[in-house]
Amino acid sequence: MTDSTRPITRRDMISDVAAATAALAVLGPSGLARAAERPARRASVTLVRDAAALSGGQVDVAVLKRMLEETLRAVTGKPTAKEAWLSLLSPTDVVGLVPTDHLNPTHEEVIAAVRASLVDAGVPAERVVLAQGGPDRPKACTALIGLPALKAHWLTGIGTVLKNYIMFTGQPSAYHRADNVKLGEIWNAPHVKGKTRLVLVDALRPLCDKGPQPDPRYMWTYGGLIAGTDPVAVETIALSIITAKRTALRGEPWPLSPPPLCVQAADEVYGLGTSRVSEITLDARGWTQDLLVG
Amino acid sequence: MTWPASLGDWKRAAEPRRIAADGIFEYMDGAGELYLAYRFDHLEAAEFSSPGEEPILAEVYLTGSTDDAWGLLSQDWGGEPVRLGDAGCRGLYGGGLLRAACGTRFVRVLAARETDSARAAVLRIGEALLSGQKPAPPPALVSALPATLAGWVRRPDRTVFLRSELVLNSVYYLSADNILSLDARTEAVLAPYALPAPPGSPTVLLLAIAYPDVATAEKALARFVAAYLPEQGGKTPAAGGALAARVEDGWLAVERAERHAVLAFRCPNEALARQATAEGLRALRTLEAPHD
Repeated sequence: MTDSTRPITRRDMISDVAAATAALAVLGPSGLARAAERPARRASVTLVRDAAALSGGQVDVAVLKRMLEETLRAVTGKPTAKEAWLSLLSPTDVVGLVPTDHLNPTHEEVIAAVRASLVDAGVPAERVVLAQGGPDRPKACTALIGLPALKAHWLTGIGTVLKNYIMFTGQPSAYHRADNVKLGEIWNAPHVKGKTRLVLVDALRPLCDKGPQPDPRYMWTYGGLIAGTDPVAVETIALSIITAKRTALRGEPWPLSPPPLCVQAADEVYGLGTSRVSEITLDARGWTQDLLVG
Repeated sequence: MTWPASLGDWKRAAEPRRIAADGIFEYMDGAGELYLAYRFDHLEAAEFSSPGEEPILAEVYLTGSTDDAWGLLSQDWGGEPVRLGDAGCRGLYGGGLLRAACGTRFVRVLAARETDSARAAVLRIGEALLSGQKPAPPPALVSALPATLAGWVRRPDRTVFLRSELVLNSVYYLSADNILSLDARTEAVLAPYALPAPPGSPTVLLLAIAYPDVATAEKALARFVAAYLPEQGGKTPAAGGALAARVEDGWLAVERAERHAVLAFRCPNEALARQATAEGLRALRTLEAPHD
């Protein structure tokens, strides 16, 4: 077994090459150089929380609408939700909403709120479609809005932003084993590349272990929306929240296993955004109790 | 198997769905591999509803063996222990979710919203779905493990029975590649050992594996050493002795006897690493031939 064929192991994760482990996993030793040359990036992520967003397990749609509008204004810097949307897309776009559709799905109220907000912004209702599913779904769209639910995943570490597009490949199980580090390549596929205008994570009631099957012991009311135009940065913040919650639950570090190498690879191999916390500006607003990040 | 049509106010909404192994991805894409890793044959699922309550989803997984059902439960020993039915089937309950294993069945009964009524129904449904099953002892590989290693005490609450590298990686990541050559024919147990005090002390991990035969075991360990300990230059554990090496997170020892292999991770020193694998193998020698 030569060095170029040796699989990546735990030892690589905790040794000095840990910073480039994902690149090593995807590209082999030559990937290390590519990772090292990657230019500096900056990204902003918005986190809006409200303790009243969920009550008795039910979403307060009025609170959610306010949260969504604040999120849109904060992400884009525009004074209204309408202007925010119109800075991201056009009324002539076919806008595909991509929620998590089963096993800890995106709340229906979040999908409905986004849809209503887009229509209010002038996108005709018939041009706002659900786009989660096989390759034909994103092909029919000119713009995508990622709406994943925040959850850990037993196969990939985290199953939120990057994994949300796995069905677009037509062969999702191909990414469940060693190739899960390559989830980012889906975002660069011709029928997907460049279409994502916003990622909005439903963090109202996340799952921090044993995903994707729900386990109420690891779900809690966080009452948040996490959003940005850099999907890797958004995933990185989502990951920070889950990791912090796990530590809080156990009272000791409880890292995700397997480690979510797909996030680092999305940055250093596929160039989709930044996974480096030092390059991310977090704009956290609203409810501050148990923020877990920032 | 027989599903209850109703239990008090809770009524089964429809006939149970039967999902075979080749259909599990459609039912639960991303979660199906967990059950396939425990040689599951098929599952049956149904919802129960009650006026004014949110539904309960009940799932029964028919696995390859009592060891596989136990293994599924061992994924997470957290929750309130419960005993179900006259046979005393073992379950764990928390937050509206019951997980239980009895015979070759593993059940998962989840209330969408936990109320007193839902909790009672979840437990009754679980009991009904395990009716006729008999509790089985833990896998022989688990029972054979030493309770202590040089004063380090095994943690039964974190001991996992497994056959797949996917399950191993979900508990203790070694590599995305299957460097230990685990498959449906292997049996393995990952057991942490901790010092009794102070709380939160570091743990040593013992991974005991029973391969189907000697040749498979030899080949598997050669592959592991080449992938995980490349600096050993192709050495493999010598007969009657361990291969030990200091790695980034402590001492690691690997030892094999016949078709059994024991690996000790995160040991604070070489002596403990070698003792752990030696004692582990001594314990495994009491096991009989593959019993599937």
